[in-house]
Amino acid sequence: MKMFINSTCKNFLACVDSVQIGLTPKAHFLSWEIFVQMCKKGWGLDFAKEIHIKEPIDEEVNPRLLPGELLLCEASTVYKYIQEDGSNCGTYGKLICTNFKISFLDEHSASDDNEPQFKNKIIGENDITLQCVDQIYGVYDEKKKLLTGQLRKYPEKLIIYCKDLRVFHFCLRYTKEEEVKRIVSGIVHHSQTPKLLKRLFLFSYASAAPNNTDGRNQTVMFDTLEDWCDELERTKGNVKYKAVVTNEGYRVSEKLPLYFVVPMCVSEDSILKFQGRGIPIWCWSCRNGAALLKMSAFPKEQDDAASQMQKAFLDGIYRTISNPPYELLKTEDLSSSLPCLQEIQTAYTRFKQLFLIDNSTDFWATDVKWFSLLESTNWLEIIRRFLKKAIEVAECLERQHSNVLLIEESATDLCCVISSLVQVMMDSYSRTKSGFQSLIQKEWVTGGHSFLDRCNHLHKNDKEEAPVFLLLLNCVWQLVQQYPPAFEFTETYLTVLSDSIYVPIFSTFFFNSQHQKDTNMTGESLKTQSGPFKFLTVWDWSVQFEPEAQALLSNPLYAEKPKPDKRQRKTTQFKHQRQLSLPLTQTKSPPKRGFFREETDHLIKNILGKRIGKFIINSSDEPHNSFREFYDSWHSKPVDYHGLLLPSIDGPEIKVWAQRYLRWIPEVQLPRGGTIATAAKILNLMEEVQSLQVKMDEEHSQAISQDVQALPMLRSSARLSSLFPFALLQRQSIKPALPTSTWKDLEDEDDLVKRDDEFVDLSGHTS
Amino acid sequence: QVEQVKLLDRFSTSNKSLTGTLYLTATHLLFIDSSQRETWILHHHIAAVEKLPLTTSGCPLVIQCKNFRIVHFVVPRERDCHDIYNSLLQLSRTAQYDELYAFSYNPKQNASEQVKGWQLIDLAEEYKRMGVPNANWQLSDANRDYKICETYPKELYVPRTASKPIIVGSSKFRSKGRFPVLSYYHKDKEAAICRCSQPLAGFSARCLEDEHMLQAISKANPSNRFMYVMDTRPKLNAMANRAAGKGYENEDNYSNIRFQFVGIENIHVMRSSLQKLLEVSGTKGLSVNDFLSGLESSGWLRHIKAVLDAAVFLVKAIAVESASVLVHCSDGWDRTSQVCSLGALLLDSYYRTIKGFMVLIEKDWIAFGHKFSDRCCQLDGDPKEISPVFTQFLESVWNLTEQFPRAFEYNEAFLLQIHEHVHSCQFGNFLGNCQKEREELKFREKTYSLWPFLLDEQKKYQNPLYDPDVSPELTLLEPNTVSFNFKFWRNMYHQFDRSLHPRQSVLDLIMNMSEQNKQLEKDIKELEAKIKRRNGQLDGVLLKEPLQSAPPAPVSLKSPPCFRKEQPLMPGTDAVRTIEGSSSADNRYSEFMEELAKAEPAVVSLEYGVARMTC
Repeated sequence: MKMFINSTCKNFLACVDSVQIGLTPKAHFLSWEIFVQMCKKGWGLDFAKEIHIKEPIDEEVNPRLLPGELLLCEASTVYKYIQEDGSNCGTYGKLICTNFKISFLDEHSASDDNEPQFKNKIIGENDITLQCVDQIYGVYDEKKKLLTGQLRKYPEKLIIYCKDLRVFHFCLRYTKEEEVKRIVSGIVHHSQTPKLLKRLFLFSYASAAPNNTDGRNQTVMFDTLEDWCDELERTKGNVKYKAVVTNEGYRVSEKLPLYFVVPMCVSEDSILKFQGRGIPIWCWSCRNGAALLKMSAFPKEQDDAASQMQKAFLDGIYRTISNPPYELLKTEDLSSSLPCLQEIQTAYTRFKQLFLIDNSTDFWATDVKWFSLLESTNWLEIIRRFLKKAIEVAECLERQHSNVLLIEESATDLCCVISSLVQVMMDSYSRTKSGFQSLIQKEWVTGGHSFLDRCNHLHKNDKEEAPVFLLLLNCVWQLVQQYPPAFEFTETYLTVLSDSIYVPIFSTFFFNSQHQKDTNMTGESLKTQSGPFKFLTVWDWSVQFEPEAQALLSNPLYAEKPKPDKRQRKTTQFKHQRQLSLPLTQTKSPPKRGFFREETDHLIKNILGKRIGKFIINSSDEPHNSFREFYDSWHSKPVDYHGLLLPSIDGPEIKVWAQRYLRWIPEVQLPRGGTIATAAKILNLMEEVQSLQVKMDEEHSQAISQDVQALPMLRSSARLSSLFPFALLQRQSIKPALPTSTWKDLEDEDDLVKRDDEFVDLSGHTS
Repeated sequence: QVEQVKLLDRFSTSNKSLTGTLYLTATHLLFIDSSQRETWILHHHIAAVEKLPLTTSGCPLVIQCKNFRIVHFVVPRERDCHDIYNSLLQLSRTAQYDELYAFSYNPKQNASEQVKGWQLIDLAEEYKRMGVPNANWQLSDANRDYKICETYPKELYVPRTASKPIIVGSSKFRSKGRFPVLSYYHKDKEAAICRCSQPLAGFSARCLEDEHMLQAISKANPSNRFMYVMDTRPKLNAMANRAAGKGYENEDNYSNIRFQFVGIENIHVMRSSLQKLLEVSGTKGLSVNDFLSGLESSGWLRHIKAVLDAAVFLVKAIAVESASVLVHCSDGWDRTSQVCSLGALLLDSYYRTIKGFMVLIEKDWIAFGHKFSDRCCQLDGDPKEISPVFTQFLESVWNLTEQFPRAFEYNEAFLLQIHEHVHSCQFGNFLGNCQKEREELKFREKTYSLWPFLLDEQKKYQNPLYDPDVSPELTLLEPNTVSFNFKFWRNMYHQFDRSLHPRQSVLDLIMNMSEQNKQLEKDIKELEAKIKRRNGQLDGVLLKEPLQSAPPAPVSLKSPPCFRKEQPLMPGTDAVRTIEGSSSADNRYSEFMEELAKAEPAVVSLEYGVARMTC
């Protein structure tokens, strides 16, 4: 590296005029910056030679393979760039492709001293699971080309964009030609082309490494009747709703889970009539008895008679469940009031592009107009709209005591997002780790969200792809960061969960429905030693993380919900009641215009006059907004972290999930700063409190067995950076000291008179 | 006094309003609603008043304040509204200094306290702390009677080799006579931050004395004879100034300097940028997209970024290269003050303490003649002179506190309070445009200093996360100036819009906990005293335990003061254990506060359990 700097300095001195002869290298601080900028402007300084830090290694590095993992192809002397700043530093190593992952092996992977602190046991720093690969680009003569399917020419450089936002650059210039052919076509073939479900690594892993763990931690899986009954009991929904076994053997529908819950009055016949369509399925019951239901709608029928029949059927259903004892029913057609899947996918594609950065030149280019770029993706606005819808639904349930029926074509996409969000906001159990995991099991995994299609794991149909589950995690993250003490898990938990979507050793995110899982589990497995496959579930975090790393997933500020004992029950209940009793301004007289109407959040743009009255937008022309009132009245009371929780959805409050999206970008790293500094401090305190408590317990000789979990990673907190626990500290990059000069160029150049104060003075003199 | 006036919440869509009575006093506008809550608005804070067209419910009156509060009254009768409007217009426009609130404000301090208050910040002391005067730098008496430069303070530090003729000559070559003087001296690197105004260079003018002056500065630094000259303006602006006979230094005429523009826009651009920002943030039910595009088009955060970028540049020159830096803009009192003070803040952890921050403001802003009166419109003057330069400085500091939550002793409330009083004209510190003016008007005798009042309520302004121990690592702050790291300062621009505030922040939580901690410590003492009194009357178990559990308390006392604040649970634990005798697994963390308020101390301890935090 030093050599590199020296040589560039020499170049620099040669081309800048000779005024500064005799500058010490130290004094090059600024000239260096200018130099970097010059290079960016393409001032023809050719130094595109790789500077080799590490000599090619001779000894074989053996890849660490999981049970059932097969090495498919490999290439040696591949050069991986470490820094994406155009300086071309990197290391040599071997690139391999297995039926599970693409992996780069250098001598670092052999030695243990350079281990990252927060380590995933399954996926290493240089591992990319095949499902995690987003796009692969080849570079031919400085031109980037997307690689898909068959290749005729082989690139000299390979750029892999990952779904967890990592970017890898591999240079194949020093690799033997046949190896290049093999590895490139291998990688492209295994990661980008359509695949059979049975070829997923999930199955080879499950057959090679029989899973003997119980698998049943605290998470409720919702694959048995008891789970549903327990949930009914927990939410006190068992008076008016029942779990049904109608779908045993998937008689009703393959999309529906084996067991589900419907209103008492719905008969088995009607469930069977339209394969479960048009049947309100219970999601959750609110404390006051109001329930959240979902229903898959009928597809648009051409046939008049058929649609008549459907209409009659629906009317019958509505009639039965609108009568007492059932609460008033509000229906909510999500497909008309929320962005469609296509819109979500487009927004996310644009959004993630902001973070998949090739080099720091690109980064600085986007940084200049960061806010407008962010706006143009529309992703944050979509998050806001989902949060808003969830608040509206919560308002109906909580304040109006009415049931809400979510309707969607299949009831497995947007329905899942809204119903999960509502439960996270209203049910403090869903804000615990096991509660959240159970929620995802209930609404998403068992509920039949098509993970395979939506994540496009098999590359079957790109049109089906939509980051619906990621959208939920993004929305929940907004809540987590607005109310950190209310959640048992941290944002790191959400980040890690979002990464686990692409790890095909867990069955959780690799089936479209319970039916698909069941049929494939028992299936004629390849080398059946012992009946059905036993898959791992992602909720067993010990598979991926050591206990120290797992500690980062729990929020130290979270306090468990007080379990009211006899003495305290009264006060607790009183508290809840007060929490619920919102000002009864209008309980029964909601405007008949309908609660859910098209979002009309228009900004009144043309009022930018000189008057200050523009700050006051006349309220009378704005539609009456009961949801806002609900929010305001909730907001004006002290928060109960175990009660209702509503996110603020004002524009400035919706933020970018920095930990997930910016973690691999060294330019945003904040050495020894950021929120992690706060977290570290709090953890230190907690530790101290705990040790004192232990001491005290000893004194009282009551030795309560409480494991004091130390956090060795955070203890040396002084050197933590804001990207902890994901980025590495040694990744420092050079950045221009004055990037402002670049954005200046983008602005319209006003004439000089306007631009300067002194010039105005001057004109005063002359007149 | 007008009755039946309605106060509207500008962000609520439900048209709810508070009805109450509006009073006008000599200094304040006061609104008392039906539930006796009072809203006080100082007349000096009023930036603009406007009557809106008559509506069915009455005559709306909108008042915009300099602290970004906007109130919207509806007065039932138009005549009343007109009267209020006119009187407010008159009251909010002050023509002379002695009509300002500071001259009538009486905080019940006696004369000696008043003098002491003014002596709290001693700049000579501060320069001594930096390590000047020393072998290379000395105090110059050249400006003793404000003869050389009216807008500079009397005491100026210059290189020892800069003789009086050089100083005089140099000042004649600089706009408004503001010649290069020391702003901050870095002891370890022996490098200095100096400040001045633009040279009157025009297209070709030279001044030997000024060249000598700069040479003297670079020679005063034994570790690096090169120095940087930073022009904080955009290059285009500096060029425009050349036509007016001003401009910037020619690198060829000065030896050993490196010249650099850093592109911070002028006061007019900043003013309109803030205006745009306020328009965007004032929108009801703002969507993300509108917010982001508004933020981008206002350019406000970009300007904050430019200021911080310049400070980072300055800091790198000093910390990495040990080179001295001379900073100027046009007149050297706006952008120069921003950059010099932020640079010093990044370099020196002293300025990140409460006292140190006061010193920094006194030194780089008040003493060096930032035109507070003009920029904040304290007197009715030229609206073109108004600009949020100091607000930008505070916002830059706030962004730093966000990036380094443990590096600052003070918190957001401290910055907001300072901002409040810069505009309030309640204290003498920020009145006037320069020291000379302040002396002539005898502010020190007639008004009070803000700083002792802030120090008195220090507790409110302390950052519970402050960690003075990390100092060796954190002496030099290296902020990241990527756009993503700049945030919209909600609590500044929506300080009074309660509906936009978060329900509770972790910081508040910690602050509350520290309060409770103190309460609990007091309780322990009381209980212990009680037990001592009743010694022998109670049964043995209860008696022994409190005495046993006493030891942890001293531990907490030993640690540094602000650390102690944060161990709230520990003594609390003691209290619980001593009384209850067994631990309840009950975690009722969030209910702490309410119960504290209503219950007797002894009962309180019974009520809450220890928050058992498993990490």
